[in-house]
Amino acid sequence: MKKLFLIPILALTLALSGCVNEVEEVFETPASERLDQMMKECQQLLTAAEHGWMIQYYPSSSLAYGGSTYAAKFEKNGDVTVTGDVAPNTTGDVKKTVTSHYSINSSSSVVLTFDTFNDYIHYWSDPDPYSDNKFEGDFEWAYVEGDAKQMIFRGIKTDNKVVFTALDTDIVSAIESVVNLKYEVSDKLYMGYKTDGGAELYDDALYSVLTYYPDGNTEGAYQKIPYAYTPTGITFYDPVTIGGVTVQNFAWQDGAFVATDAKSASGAATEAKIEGFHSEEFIHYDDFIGDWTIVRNGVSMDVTLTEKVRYQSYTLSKIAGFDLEVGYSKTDGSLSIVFQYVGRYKTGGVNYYAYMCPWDAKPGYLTWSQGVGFVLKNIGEDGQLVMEFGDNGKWGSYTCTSMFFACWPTNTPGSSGRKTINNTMTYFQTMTKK
Amino acid sequence: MKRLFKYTLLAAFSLLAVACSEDDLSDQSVITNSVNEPTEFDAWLEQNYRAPFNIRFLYRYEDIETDMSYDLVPAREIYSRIMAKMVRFLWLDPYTEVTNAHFMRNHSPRLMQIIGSGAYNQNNTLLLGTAEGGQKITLYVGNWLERFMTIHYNNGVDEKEGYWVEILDPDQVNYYYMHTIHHEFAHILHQKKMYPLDFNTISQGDYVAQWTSISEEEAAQKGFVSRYGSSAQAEDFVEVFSYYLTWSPEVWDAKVAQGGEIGGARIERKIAIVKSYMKDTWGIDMDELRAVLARRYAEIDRLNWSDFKTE
Repeated sequence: MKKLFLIPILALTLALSGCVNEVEEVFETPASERLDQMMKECQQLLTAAEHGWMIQYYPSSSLAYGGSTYAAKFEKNGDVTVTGDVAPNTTGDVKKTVTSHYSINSSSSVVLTFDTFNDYIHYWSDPDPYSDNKFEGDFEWAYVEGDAKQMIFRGIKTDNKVVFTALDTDIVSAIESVVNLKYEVSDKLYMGYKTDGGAELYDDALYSVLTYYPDGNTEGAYQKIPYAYTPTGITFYDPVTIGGVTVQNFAWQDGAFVATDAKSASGAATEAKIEGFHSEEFIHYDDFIGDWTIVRNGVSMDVTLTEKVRYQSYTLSKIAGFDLEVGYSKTDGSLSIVFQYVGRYKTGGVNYYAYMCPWDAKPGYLTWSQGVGFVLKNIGEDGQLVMEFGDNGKWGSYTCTSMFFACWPTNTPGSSGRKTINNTMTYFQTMTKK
Repeated sequence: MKRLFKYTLLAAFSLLAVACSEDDLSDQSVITNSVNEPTEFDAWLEQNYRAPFNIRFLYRYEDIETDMSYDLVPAREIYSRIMAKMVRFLWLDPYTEVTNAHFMRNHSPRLMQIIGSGAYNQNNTLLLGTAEGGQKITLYVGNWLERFMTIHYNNGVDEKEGYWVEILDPDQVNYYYMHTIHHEFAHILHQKKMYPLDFNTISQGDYVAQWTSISEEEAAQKGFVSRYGSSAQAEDFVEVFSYYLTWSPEVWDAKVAQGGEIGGARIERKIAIVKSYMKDTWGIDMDELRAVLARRYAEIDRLNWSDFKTE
C-alpha cells in the first residue's frame, strides 16, 4: 500500500517536468540574432545590385500624391547615389546624381534610413519649404522581404509599400527614360484613359493618380488609382480590377498603356489596355503658338502667341503697347483672357500700375474683379483656327463686351485713384491663325 | 507522513533538476552590431568630440534620438561638417580656453544632434534647439546654412578637392546656431546647479505664455533681452546669458538702451546675477569669455573647413 503511494507522486513529477521540457522555441535563434541576420541580408541585397535599384515610392498614407520613381546605387561604405523623377522640381537635371548616406538599423524591425539629406529622397518629407510636411512623406523604410531582383519595404510613417526593382541599366539612363516617358505622355494632354470596355479613368493634373468611375458616371462612386512610372510604362500601387480584368503593370505603346500582366476573373492571362482620349473640342497647346491676325475695333492687326507656362498659358503681343496673358484649357480647346496686371505705365512723371480691365459697353461699366473676362472658342473649319471672343460668365449680370487699360498709383486697384490710359478701348471680334 | 514529505521533496528536486538542465546561456551576444561603416568624418569626430569631450556628435538621422512629434529631415552632410568645425571653434574651445580641459568634458552634453529642417509647431513658431536633462542638445535648421554662407569648392564642382566657406550673414549664423547652443548649454548648467532665485523676482509678473504676442521692443521695455525670454524665468536667464556672449558690446548696449529706464535697469540687474552665478558656481568670468569669443569670431575665416584628416 505504501509503495503504491509513490506512483502518483512519480507520475506528478513526470507530468510537471514534462511541461517544462515542452516549452519550445518558435525560432531557432534569438530575436536579436534574427534581426542582425536580416540587417546583413538587407545590406547585402542592396549593395549586390550591379546597376542599382529602381524605387517606386508613394508619400502620404492617403496616396494622394501618387507615386514617384527613383533610381539608386547603394555602396558598402554607406554611400547612396540617387536620381529621380523629382529632378525637374529639385536640381532641375536628372543627370545630376546626389550622393548621401544610408544606414540600416534595427529597432522593432530592420529599417533602411536615408540619414543625411538628399535633394531627391527627402523632397517628399522636407517640412522647410512649406513649414509643414506637406506631402507627408517618410525616408525610413522597414525591410519586409527581398531577393536579388526585388525588395519590398514599408514606409515607417505611412505604412505604404516601397518596391525596389533591380535595374539592368545605369541609374541616370533609367530615370532619363522615366522622365522622357512622362514628358511624352503629358504632351498628349489627355483627359484620361479609356479601357477596352469603355470605362473612363481621369488623370490628375498634378500627380500620378487616376480616378476610375466604375458606373461610368463622374457624379457617382469612384476609385483612386495611384501609380508610378517605370522606364517603359507605369505600375499601379496595387492590382486593380476594371471590368473583370485585373491589371497592375503597363507598357507605353502608341498612345496607350498596354497591360503586361492582365488576368481575367478566372485567373487566366488576357489582353487589356487603357487608351488616352481627348474631348471633342480638344486643340493641342502647341497648335495655338504662332502668328495671328486679330480684328480690333474693326481693324485687322498682327499679333503673336508665344509659350508662357507650358500647357497653361501664352503671351499675346501686343495690344495697345501691352502684352496680355492668355490662358489655355485642354478640356474644351478654349483660350481665356481675364482681368490682369500688365506692367508699369509712366505718365506725367508718375510710375503707375497698369491693368487690363473688362468693360460692359451697354451700361458703360468697368471691372477689376479677378477672373472676369473673355473666353475664346474656335469657330473655324477645316483645321483653320478662328477664335471668337465671348463673355466668360464670371461677371454677374454684366457682360464683357470690350476692354481697356487703366492704371493706379498703387498695385491695389480700387474705385479711387484710377486713370484711364487713352486710346486703349478695344472691341475684339475674332482672332485668326496665319 | 514523514515519508510522504520525503517523496514530495524528492519529486520537487527532480523537477528542479530537469528544469535547470535545459537552461544553458547562449554564447552569442544579443547586442547586434551595426552594419554601417564609419567614414573619415566619423574618425575626425572621434578625435575631436568623442575622445576629448565625450560628446557624440550625431549628424546621421536616428529615429530614436529625434522628437517623434515633429516631421523632420536630416542635415546635409557638408553642413554638419561645417557645423562640427564651427561649434568646436566657437563653443567648445572658448570654454576650455577660459577654464581647463576638464570643464567641457564634465559639463557638455553627451549627445549633440544636428537636424536639417526646422521643427514646426502648430502655432507657427519654429523650434531652433532643445536641451534635455543636461545630456543632449539638438540643433535644428542645419540645412538653412545654405542661406547664410557660400561654399567655394576648390575644383569648382564638388567637395572632393576641398572647399572653403564664406560666411555671408554672420548675424544669422550667430542667431540660429551659436546663440542656440549657448542658450541650450546655459540650460544644462542651471539644470545642474540652480542660479540664484533673486533672478526670478526681477521681472516677476511680466512672464507670458504667448511670447509671440509682444514685440521685441515691448519685451525690452519690460526687461527682456528677447521676447522669447519673456516666456519663462529659466528661458529669460539663458537668453540673457546667450545674448551677452554672442552679441557685440554695441548691440548689447543698444538693447539695454531700448529697454529705457525700467527695462534697461532690469536687464543690467539680470546680467549682474548671471555674471556672479557663472563666476561663483563655475569659475567663469563672463567678460573674459565674451572677449575670447569676440577674438575667435574675427578669426573664423582662418579655419580649414575641409580638412578632416586624423592622426
